[in-house]
Amino acid sequence: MFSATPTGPAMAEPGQDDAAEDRIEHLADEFAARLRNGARVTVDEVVAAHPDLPSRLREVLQTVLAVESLKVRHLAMHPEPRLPSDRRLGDFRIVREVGRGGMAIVYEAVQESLARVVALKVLPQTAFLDDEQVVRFQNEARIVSRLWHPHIVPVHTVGVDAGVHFFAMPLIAGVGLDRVVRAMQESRCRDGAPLDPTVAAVLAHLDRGEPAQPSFWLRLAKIGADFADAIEHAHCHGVIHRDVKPSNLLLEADGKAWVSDFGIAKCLDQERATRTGQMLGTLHYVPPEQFDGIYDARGDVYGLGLSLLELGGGATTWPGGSIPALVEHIRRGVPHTLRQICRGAPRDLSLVLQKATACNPSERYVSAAEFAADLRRFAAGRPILARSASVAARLLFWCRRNRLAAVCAAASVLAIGAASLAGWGAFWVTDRALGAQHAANARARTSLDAARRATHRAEANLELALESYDEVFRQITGGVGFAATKDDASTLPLVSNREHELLQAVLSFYESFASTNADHPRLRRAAAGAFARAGDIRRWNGDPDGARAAYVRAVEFHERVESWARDDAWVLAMASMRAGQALVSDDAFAALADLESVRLLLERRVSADAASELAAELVRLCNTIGVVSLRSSPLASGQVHPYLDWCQRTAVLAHERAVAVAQCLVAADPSALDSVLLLARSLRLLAHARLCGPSPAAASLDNVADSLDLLEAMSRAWPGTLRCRVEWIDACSLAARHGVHGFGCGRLTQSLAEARDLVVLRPGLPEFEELLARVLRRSGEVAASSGQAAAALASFDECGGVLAALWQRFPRAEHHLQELLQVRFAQANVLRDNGDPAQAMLLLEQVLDLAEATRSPTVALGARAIDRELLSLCVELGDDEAAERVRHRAIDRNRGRFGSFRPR
Amino acid sequence: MQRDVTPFAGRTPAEELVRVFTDDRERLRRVVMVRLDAGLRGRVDVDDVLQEAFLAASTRLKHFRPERCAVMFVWVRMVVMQTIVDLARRHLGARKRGGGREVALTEVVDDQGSSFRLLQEMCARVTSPTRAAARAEDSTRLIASIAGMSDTDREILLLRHFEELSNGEVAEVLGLQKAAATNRYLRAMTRLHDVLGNPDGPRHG
Repeated sequence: MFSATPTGPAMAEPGQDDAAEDRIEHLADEFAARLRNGARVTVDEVVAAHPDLPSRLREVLQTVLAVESLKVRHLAMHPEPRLPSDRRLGDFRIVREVGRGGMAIVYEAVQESLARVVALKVLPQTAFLDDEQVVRFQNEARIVSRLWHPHIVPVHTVGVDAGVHFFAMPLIAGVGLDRVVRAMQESRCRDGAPLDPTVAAVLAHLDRGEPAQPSFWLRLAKIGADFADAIEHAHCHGVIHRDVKPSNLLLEADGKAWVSDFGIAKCLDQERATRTGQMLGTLHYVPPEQFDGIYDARGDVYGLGLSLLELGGGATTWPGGSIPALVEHIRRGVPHTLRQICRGAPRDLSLVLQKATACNPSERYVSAAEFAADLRRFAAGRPILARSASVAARLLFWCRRNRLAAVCAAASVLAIGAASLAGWGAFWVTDRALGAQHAANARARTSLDAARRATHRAEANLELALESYDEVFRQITGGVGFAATKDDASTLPLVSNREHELLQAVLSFYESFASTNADHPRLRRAAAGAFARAGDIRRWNGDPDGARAAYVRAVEFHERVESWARDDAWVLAMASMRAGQALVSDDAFAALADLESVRLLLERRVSADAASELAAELVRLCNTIGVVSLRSSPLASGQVHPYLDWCQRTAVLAHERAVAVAQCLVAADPSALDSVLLLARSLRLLAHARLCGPSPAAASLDNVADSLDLLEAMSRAWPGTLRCRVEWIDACSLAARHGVHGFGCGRLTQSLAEARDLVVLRPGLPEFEELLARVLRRSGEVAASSGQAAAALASFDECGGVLAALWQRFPRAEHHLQELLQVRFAQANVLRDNGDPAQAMLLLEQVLDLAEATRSPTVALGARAIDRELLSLCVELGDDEAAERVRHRAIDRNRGRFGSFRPR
Repeated sequence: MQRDVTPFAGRTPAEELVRVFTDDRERLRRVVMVRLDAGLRGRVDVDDVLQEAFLAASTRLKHFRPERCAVMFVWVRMVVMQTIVDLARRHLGARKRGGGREVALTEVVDDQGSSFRLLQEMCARVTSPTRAAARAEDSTRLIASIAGMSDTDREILLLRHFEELSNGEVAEVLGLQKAAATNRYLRAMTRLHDVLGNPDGPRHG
């Protein structure tokens, strides 16, 4: 309604400003008042009557018109239709009001000439703001009244009497799916209000059951197919519903389906819609493409699919929130499949609904007929067509499920750039790698070649592809729960098998990208980055050799960047590459030397301005140095060994530096949560490193105390910050473990309870389970050192259980196993001290079985310590045979790895 | 202390209060309809709210300062708003039985957010069951555009077009000069026009 107007100057000449403004305001007020009174007045009339006023008048009046009609439609504030005193409209006698919408009032009425009961929808006078709209409405109603289908609520009559517009429909004894879904939701809460008898009857007919019965899914499919048939029928007659939503899909008590309100919505707003591309329809069921002004038959398929999904799951789809947020959610796509809402739902039905509600219309059923056919195929137990949903679609779906707005944005840009080969080449690679997995390596390579060739053709698109892959990568690796902030490289992201599968696809893309573009001067840095990511992925996959090779190449290409182009970003990238490399290195000395060299680079740049991303990176790097050097001493505490001693001292020095830099960061901006957390974490790591030494200094306890002070101040400044709470639990339990003043058993119990709360709060989030395991281990250690064997064993046992479960879930994150080894070791010690060496042996042998399944050098070191412990247990038990067995087992395992190693 | 000069055409404040509740009843009803939480709309009658507001206004009449507030309607409107907030608080407290949408207490009480909530409700209402049989048209884009306006612009728009207040009354409610209120109103409308005219959709923020 606005596009036709050329926008005039926003302000009139300065001298006339106030007077003109007053007049415009006055005219706008008058115009609004006349609209409210139902008078027929147009913008053109008013503008024509005041030719001397600036064009702003038209803009304001148009906006007044839009806002006034919006109010009429949405707030039900329009004056009640002035019904004649005898409550008759033409042939109809009104009996009672049955419903009221933002737009119209529905009455039960009797059509006297035919003596039939009808539903009479009466529109307010202000519903039509001009005559043209009245004509459109009547035309549309006429077309709709020609739709004749067993599942479409027909329109009997359209009429106008005494200035009141209305139309008559049969009175359906049914309820909208929205009420059914709501009743399902409420019944789950167990204290819902008594049900409306019709709703209750419909629910009884559907007989969902808890959990849902197989017969329910068949009924759902059948009803869905009926709805789809009705919609298809209308489509064939050129009528698009445009507002398919649960409240327009009615069910009678016997399960008969009705689609109501055909085309009426459309006609009232169509004029506007076609002229300005404005949107129609209820926001919750609006297909994503409608926000771009696109709507066709597939939009109706989406609305029906989403409504059926809600009926099946018994819950509404979108979370509450502001309108912009809702629009964002919708654009990202339906967040879950039927099976994710409802575990027992049939896979095929879930796939059918997933296809119907696909974010991209081209991935949906082309027509309602196809949708109906697939639903019927499912109901008949025949194979469905949606099963062959492409892997690319699954990738997209995965992205959506993880709420990756950015990924989807990038991915849809990719999809839009479909014409460009490069985009599709890259997609194809993903597709292949996901679908064919290992078996189709050869074919995947061909597709990589295709992508490579495409690369040369369209470099820009490739960069786009790289960006979107980077986003996928970041989201998988950094998006795990609260750990989204960048931590030091020692914290591994924990990836599930499904994400692992996806990472493989990303990996093949990176590798092909890197090897193709490494010589391209402009893309060299990007290629180095891609190698580094490939290294990261290989590292998490438990492929240290592959990772090492990738990192070496990453560093190699990164170093080829000319020295003048080595900016801060270059140094940051180098730091993260070296950190990754160090973590897979089998030569701790070499790794630490590399890390030290990067650290020098960073140090040189940091000195000038302490508060920068570089400084933060320096802190992280120092922490990585500390963690790496400490990691190479697997069962450090209590053992004295020159190498271990050196490791521990290096770690302490590194963490001390981290603390110093972090303190500068905090001093520069005490309100930056990230800096404060970084400092708290560095303090805790420093304390931990110091405590690992042979003679823990009292200063280390001060570090923990400092860390705790910080954290407590932070909790006050940012109450409810999860990261803060997590760090606090960690530091608090560490303090309690080492007897920091004021942190006794009470605090330990408190942190244990909090850790448990966290696990309950976010079940399945590995970081919290790791934390719980750490706290449990510390409680066990405290109990053991105070002679409470039973309590210690219980804590260790639970801790071992948590770690074992974690290791099973994330077989690639070996530090769980390493910790499990340590915990079992401690547990065995308690058992031994309490006179149960046989049980201790059993425990150690079990954990050794686990350790032998991996090839990690640090785990092997842990296993070695366990060998030693086992041997001494054998000696204690006087069981020479067992001792011999243990010795042989150790020699077998370590042959080749440690050469002449021979346990004493 | 000069009670002889009454600003209400010779009426006492008490008489004027009665007049506002009689003559401006429709407008006050509209205030309630615009500002009342959607979850409460089914439970409390608009006229009950007004009755309660009238009682509250009568007891608080001694606090009414004609020199501060020239139009009594504006003061009464404020009392009505306060009544609505109190009602929401009271009903939400007793809402454990369920039956309504979950609305956080802050959402209801937070006055700043009230105009924004109204827009959210516009969308939510369309799916409410009592309206299932009737069609509610949705100019979604317009709603989104209004939602994206600045707080002041949005409030002016709601006061002018949803509560149907006059320019002078808006000026009093917002504590502005009349000319400034005019200026702001026109600016808000022009901005909204610009946003709607932009084919890329509403700009937020």
